[in-house]
Amino acid sequence: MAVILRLEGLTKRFGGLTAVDAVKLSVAENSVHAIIGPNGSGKTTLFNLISGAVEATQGRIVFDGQPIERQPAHARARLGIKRTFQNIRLFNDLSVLENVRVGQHPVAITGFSSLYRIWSAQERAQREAAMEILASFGLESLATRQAGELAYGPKRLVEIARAVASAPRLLLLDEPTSGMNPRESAEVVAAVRKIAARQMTILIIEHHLPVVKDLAERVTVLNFGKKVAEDTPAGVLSDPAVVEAYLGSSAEA
Amino acid sequence: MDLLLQQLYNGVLIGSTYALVALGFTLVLGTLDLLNFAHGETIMLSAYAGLVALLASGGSVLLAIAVAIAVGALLGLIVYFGSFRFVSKKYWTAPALSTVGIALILQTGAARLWGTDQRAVPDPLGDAHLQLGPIMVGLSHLVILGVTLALMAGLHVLLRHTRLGKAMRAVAENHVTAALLGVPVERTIAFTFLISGVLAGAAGSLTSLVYHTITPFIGLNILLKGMTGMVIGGLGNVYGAMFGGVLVGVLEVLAVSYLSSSYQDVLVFAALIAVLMFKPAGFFGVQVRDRA
Amino acid sequence: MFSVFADSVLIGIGINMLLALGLYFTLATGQFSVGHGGFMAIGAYAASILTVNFAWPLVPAVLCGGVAAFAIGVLIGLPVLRFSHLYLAMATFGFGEIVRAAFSVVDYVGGVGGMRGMMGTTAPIVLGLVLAAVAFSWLHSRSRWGLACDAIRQDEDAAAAMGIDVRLNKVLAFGVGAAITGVGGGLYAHHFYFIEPTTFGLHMSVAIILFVIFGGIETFWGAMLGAAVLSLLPDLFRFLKDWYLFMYGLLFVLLMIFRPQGMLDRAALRALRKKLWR
Repeated sequence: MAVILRLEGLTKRFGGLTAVDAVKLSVAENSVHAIIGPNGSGKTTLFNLISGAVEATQGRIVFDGQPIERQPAHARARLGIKRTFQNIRLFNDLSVLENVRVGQHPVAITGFSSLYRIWSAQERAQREAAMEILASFGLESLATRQAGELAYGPKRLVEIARAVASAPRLLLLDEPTSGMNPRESAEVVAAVRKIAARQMTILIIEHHLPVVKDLAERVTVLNFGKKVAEDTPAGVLSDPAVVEAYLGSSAEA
Repeated sequence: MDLLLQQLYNGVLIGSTYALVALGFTLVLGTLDLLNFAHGETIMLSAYAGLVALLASGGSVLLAIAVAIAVGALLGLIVYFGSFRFVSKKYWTAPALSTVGIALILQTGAARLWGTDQRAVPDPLGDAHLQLGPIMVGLSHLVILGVTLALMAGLHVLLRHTRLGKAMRAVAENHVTAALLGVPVERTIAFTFLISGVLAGAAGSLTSLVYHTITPFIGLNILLKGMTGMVIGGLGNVYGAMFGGVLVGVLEVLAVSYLSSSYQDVLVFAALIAVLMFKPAGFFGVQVRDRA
Repeated sequence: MFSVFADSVLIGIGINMLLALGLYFTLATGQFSVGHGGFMAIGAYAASILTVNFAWPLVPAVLCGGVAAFAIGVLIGLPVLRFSHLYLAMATFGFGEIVRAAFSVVDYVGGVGGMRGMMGTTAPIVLGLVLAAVAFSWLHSRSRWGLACDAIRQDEDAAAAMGIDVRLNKVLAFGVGAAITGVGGGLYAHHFYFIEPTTFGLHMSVAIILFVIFGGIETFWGAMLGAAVLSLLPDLFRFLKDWYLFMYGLLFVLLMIFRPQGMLDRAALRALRKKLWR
């Protein structure tokens, strides 16, 4: 299977703190790959490094054969890397539909030229595509609602819809089920499964281990910023080092 | 050479008052990310209060300074209530804009009360001076430098060695964390405005003593000079503000003697913009995060 | 047709609308400029130099003033807009003052004494330019560019993660805002036949800010409304003469406490639309 993302010796230091320590990782194309680890193990920082929210101190990030560690976040989105955030960052004063349309930016015509394309056929097609994406998540009735007013579960779904709106090659989901009750969790998992069935590579940070077992084909375990294990879900969850890392600190199972 | 030394001395003298301006401004900025545009007018109004006290008491400089400080503290609290306590933080521009409003109110008030003409600020200690080599040191200068140093030292002690100071630093770091650690955030913020007002009051009376004049329109100019000093020293850095303020004073005096007084403002404001554009961290500031 | 007085009032409102629209564009990406008087000055002086010293016709001169303001806006914005909004606020604060101080020492434009000799402007010209600016703003608000600005305003990091070049958009919006305000400045110079550096100082910048925050910061219609309403107030409240600025200041504080988003916010606009399209 082709490797779509490769991290080599990826390191991030914040002053005296090493959040990510020489991480080496290969993600297979069109697979679902989970990153797990106790709180503070560097998972979100790893995502921030991949998406470009934060600049690496050292190491390489190779996406589709191209090194991207020097590229700013918006350029990486245009290359096909999209993400959701741990604490859901929607554009709260915009409508649900507008949020998804922003998600289409990497594949839309923007800037000055967008001024005279408002009523073009392409724009109309993209609006319809945005509605279709909402519909595929069961959210079409919420299209005109203000994003900030939604309940937690639908908010997360909108955020995921926004991320997939540009048909990205790599989708980073940062704890998509965090803070959710079982019903909401199940909805999110179902949505992710549907996305995984299309041609998309998903990298997911998850604390709920059943979700990991359910969705992921491969799991990487981080602790203190270092990779400590990598295997199939079953293999990783029976690895004594992993069990120790989790039971040695607080985590949900 | 002698002239240069005298000018440098003058620069440090006026610069020390600018340092007080920068300090007061940076305290509020560091704690709340708030640009207090009323700071200049607070300084101006405190200076007027000091002048009134000076004239009423028949020349007591210390009383003038004390009154100015008290008025400054009061105005600091007014800014706290009018621009922070009761203003919605949902719109991040709201507090700063409210300070703009307070500035307008204070300036028009002063202009109505005392007229728009320049007024003289007498120097009761005027003729007494020492001669330190080539430098003429007026007695009032000693008072000014003394008060400035005392306030800076006091601020240092406050921030490093008292509970209030620790609380202020915690709140400046992160409000939420500070609250979780049991710091009385709202009260600490109120105190920060109060102390900023104290520094403003002192700066007001001291600057008017150095310049020997006062108008209701000095606020803007002084604020910009303090801001420049703060930016040069590095945003959020108290010691940088002290350094930057003094540097601005020196720059200003040198500009007036070697160029012309009309260029004095241009030079200082050009420095402000230049530092913001090319070295926004200033001399001692934290590396500013490039959000590109 | 219109009396001379009515013409003058309309021109005044039109100029203020341009000034306010210019500031709105800066706000559109969540940035704040406390020195827009400086861009107004650049537009005013540039246009005046062209008409008075080089006999240019009015409209091209005024548009050139806009271009000059755009260039300076981009020049300042490029380095400063990389950082948090505080830096732009301080830089524009300093910028407004430095422009005033700089024009005071340049004899070519009359220094402190000011510059005169500009011919008048007419209501049709002003209204035409206002309409052009409104059309541009309206297209912007409906386009993906406007959507990108909205996204940046709400959450810069999320916007970047969605492929938006945050810095470029901020700089462009700032430049465009400077240009529109610059055009307003050019018209101002030709309406009042005389300009001096102090005209464009902090009081002017503050007045422009008041137009926008009073009218509404969330959409460009707010800026238009604020400019229109506050342009008429001086005539209605002439008795306040010396207490003008005091009232402005009070208005700032009261607005920030009770209605920081201004009169016309998104919700009000939607309600208004519903009523109009009934």
